Amino acid sequence: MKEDGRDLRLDFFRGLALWFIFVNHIPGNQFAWLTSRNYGLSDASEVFVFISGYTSALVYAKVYARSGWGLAAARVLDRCWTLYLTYIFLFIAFTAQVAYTTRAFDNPLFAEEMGIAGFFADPAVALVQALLLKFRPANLDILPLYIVLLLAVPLLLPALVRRPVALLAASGALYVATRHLHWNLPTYPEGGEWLFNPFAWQFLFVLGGVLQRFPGASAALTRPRPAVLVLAALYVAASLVLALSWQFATLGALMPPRLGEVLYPISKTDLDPLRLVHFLALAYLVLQLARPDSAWLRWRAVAPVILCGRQSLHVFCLGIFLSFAAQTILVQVNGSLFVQFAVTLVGITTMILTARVLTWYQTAGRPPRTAAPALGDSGA
Amino acid sequence: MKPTVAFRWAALLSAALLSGAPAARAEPPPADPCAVPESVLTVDAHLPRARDRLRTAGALPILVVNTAKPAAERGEASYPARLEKDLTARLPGRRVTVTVRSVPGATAHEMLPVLESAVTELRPALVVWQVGTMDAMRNVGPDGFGEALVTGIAQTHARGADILVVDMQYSPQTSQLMTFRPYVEYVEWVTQNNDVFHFPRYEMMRHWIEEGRVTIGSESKDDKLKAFTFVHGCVARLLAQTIAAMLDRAEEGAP
Repeated sequence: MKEDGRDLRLDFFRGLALWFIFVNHIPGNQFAWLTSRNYGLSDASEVFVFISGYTSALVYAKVYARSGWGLAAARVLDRCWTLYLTYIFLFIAFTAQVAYTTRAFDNPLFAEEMGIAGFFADPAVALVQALLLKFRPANLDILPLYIVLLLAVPLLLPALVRRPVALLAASGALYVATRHLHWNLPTYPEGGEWLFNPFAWQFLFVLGGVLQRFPGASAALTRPRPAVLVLAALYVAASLVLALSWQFATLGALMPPRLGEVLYPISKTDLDPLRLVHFLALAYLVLQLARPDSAWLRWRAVAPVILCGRQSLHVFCLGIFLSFAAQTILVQVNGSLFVQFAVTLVGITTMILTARVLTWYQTAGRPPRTAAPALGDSGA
Repeated sequence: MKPTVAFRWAALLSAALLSGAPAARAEPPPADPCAVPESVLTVDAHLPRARDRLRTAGALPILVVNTAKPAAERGEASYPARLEKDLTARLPGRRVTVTVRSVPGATAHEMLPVLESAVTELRPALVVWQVGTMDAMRNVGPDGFGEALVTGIAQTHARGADILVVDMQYSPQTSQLMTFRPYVEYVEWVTQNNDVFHFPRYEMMRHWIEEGRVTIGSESKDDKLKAFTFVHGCVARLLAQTIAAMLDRAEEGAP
């Protein structure tokens, strides 16, 4: 594929985030220790949402400028429709796996305490609620967030193009208000909330979009400054100690209890400011090493990551499905370290191969130039 | 917060390294099948109010508030009934009674009024609050769950009773469909902040299952009953053991 002046960093970090999300969503997989979530406050979700905002602005603002709001909105809706179909497909695939797994619930040990009656007793209700994105099995949380954020893009586009600063201010205000007033969308059964609160997480998405509109300012913001470097490094180091203290009892015992009272809970649902700052500090540090012209972005070894990042939508959905399948294997068949390694490896290989086939399919038989912006870019 | 993860990682690594070594020494099965390592269960709290009641009245009325609804034929095998027996044996000459208030299908928040009225009415010395299952099943916001825990602990203490919190059950199958982790972590965090004991049932069951001491997911009715009896029996035994230890601890050197 031609580079076309495209920022390879977007594809690389999005691809990496997709790999991390896949590995992290297999409970009991010791290889999750290799991912960023254990070494800081933020995790791959932040990277994914931020870059999605950035690339959405990149793709749809271009369509908006060239062909007007109508076509841009239609393009977004087309993408949402694809995502929604994917969600429903994943849900059905889940139901089959779930039906197998739920046999464990038919055990007085669990049935009596969980009052299983309501859970799968009324398939009709559960199905309708699933179609409304309200009933979400564990681990299928980030996709509805993604759909809702994309659905908002047509509404945001005019402001994003004409008054990006005002949009960012409004988005920040909504984020602050959400954190203070505890707004969230409900789930089914009653009383639940979305694990990724869209009213809070939209801020990161919009931030990515707005920064894309100001390439000069973004470059200036990430310029190396000793004071900022030191502050960011200190913050990331402190988060590292904090995150490790949750995993290692000896380190946890050294943490002053007062600290916990001040800091916790560090809410993922509402995108805690500590997480947000951690993401920004980490991004600042990483961007010092990852310049648009960095040679390592063209190494053969990172090409598979970039490939996955370029086909993010399909690889993302595939990853969710694969992680549940991997989990089923670990739970039902064998959970040894070797099998954990095998399912992780097979999963990532499947993601790479799929991305490769999709890239081939999209470029095959097209004149090289026309494939560039709108089609070659996955756009979300 | 998750000490076991590190230990398991280390254990797995060493197991992987050792498995190639000839004549690796087979671990003898532990004498007590219920036993869990200290990384899972440590007694780190006091029961000052229960100790006072035990000293002045010679009685230990316990109230279990949970979401369970055991079938009548299993009542004797369920952990509240076993707890009464085990604790009576450990505290000779004292009157130990266990009463159960069940609120099937209730979240932590929905349990609060029942907890309050039962404590007022029954005047227990110790409340065993088994909570979190419904919150995890219904995806209740973990923050709201934490707030309900804080309220429940405070209102029980205000009425002069001690409280300890029992978290959710574990099985690989149920955990695949529900996200228990954040709720278990909230229980750990809130109890630590309030000097209340967290009975780590989730991690215990995980230990038993991973060690192969109990098998979940079998189709046979006998196996299901065996799992039920084992888990409830061990929960009761360890609960009795830790309550007795906390009462002793309080007598030794409480402020």
